Amino acid sequence: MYTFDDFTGMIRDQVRMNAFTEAMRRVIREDSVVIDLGAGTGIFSLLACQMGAKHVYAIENNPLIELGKTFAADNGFDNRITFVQSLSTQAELPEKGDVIVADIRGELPLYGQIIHTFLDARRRLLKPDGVIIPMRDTLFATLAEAPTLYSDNVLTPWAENAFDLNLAAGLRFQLNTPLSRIHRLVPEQLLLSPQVWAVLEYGKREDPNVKQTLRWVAERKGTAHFVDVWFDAELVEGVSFSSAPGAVSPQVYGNLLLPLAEPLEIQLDDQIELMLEANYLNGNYLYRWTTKRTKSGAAQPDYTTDQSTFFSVPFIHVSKRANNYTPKLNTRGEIIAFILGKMREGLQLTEIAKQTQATFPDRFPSYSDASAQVANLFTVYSD
Amino acid sequence: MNQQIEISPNVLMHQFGDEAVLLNLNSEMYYALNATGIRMWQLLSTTKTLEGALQQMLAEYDVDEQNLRSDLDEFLQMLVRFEIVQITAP
Repeated sequence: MYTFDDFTGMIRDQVRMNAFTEAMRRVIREDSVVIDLGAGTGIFSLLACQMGAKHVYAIENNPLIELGKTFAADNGFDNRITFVQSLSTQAELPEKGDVIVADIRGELPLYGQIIHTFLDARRRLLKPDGVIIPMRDTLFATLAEAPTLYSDNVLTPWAENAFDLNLAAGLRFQLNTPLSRIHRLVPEQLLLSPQVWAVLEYGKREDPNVKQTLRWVAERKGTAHFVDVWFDAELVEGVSFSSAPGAVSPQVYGNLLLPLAEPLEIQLDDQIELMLEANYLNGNYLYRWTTKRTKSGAAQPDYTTDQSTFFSVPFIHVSKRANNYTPKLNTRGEIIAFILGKMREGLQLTEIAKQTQATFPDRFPSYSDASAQVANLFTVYSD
Repeated sequence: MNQQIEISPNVLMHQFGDEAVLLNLNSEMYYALNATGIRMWQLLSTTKTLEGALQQMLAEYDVDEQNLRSDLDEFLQMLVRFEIVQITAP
């Protein structure tokens, strides 16, 4: 879930805001019903009202949506915005929208339930001739040369460190972990011409998964260290931005940098193959990238790596998802079950906290500890 | 018994110590393996036949052949059910 600071960053990002504002201005009319999907603190809803929209439904599951109500009142829009704290897939609205505006990407567009969310929204919440902002994201991929980044952020501290410690077991995890978005490359670091990996048409797409094999014949030599993935966004016809290396990009998006298991030397005319797939699994995207090099004139590849973010997930997280795993409730689970049972009995916080402390004295040395736990569960599991 | 075992290209194995999990990216099914399961998986993957894996395990472990054959067959059927492997004619 986004934090307040995330929302602040999104609103501060001028490239992003300018593009969305222009896109909205082109499609919102005075009789428009607008659905602000994943509204955050409601900035797009306020702008839609400013542009004359008849009514806006601001849907956001994050409790920070409450702040949007204050903004609406402070700007005189409170009778034109309906705030709905819910996942959009669970929201029921009294009317369908003419426009959906949504920025529910992560670093890349493939983030969380984005495809399912748009699919559900266009089926249930949008008029048949309605408009979705963004219209389309096009994702590109290539191999990039970045020796210092690789040495400093992949090899260190696992393969080499200043502590004289053997941390080599950590390298396998790091090699299967994308680097975070703060790292930005320049176009000169791209060794192969970028190719389209996926096109996400939000008005049509149903499949959340992407799988594509890209092939190149090298036109320059160098050493590849990362698979680099970015996207071009087309919000409406003629309004776009890009997170490509070298582009004036919104700061809130980034490039996905997937490290190669071994630096890959590329000579002129070498054949390079990259199979890149993203699978939506348990609420997140799992990436797999298989890289091959066949030297010029050779019949078979002499470099093959098969990597996946699956290998960097803590083992306990995947082992407990196994279809043949039989779980046993631990103490934490027993505590939660106990408290939920007391909630069902209709008891108040004080009484539940007292009973919880008495039943689990080792876990809750004081009433205050038990009370905090009970209150936390109230915020999630009570109406 | 001479049927060929074909591993789905969409299967990933995450191993940690003497435990492992197989994931089929298509079916989104996870299957947990213990140490014996890992060895069975390795041998089925390399020999590509139940008979090949059986003979190798008989050489490695002091076990009754009939019991081992039954365990291996049960394991293989489970992998088929979880769409992790396919069995094809030789």
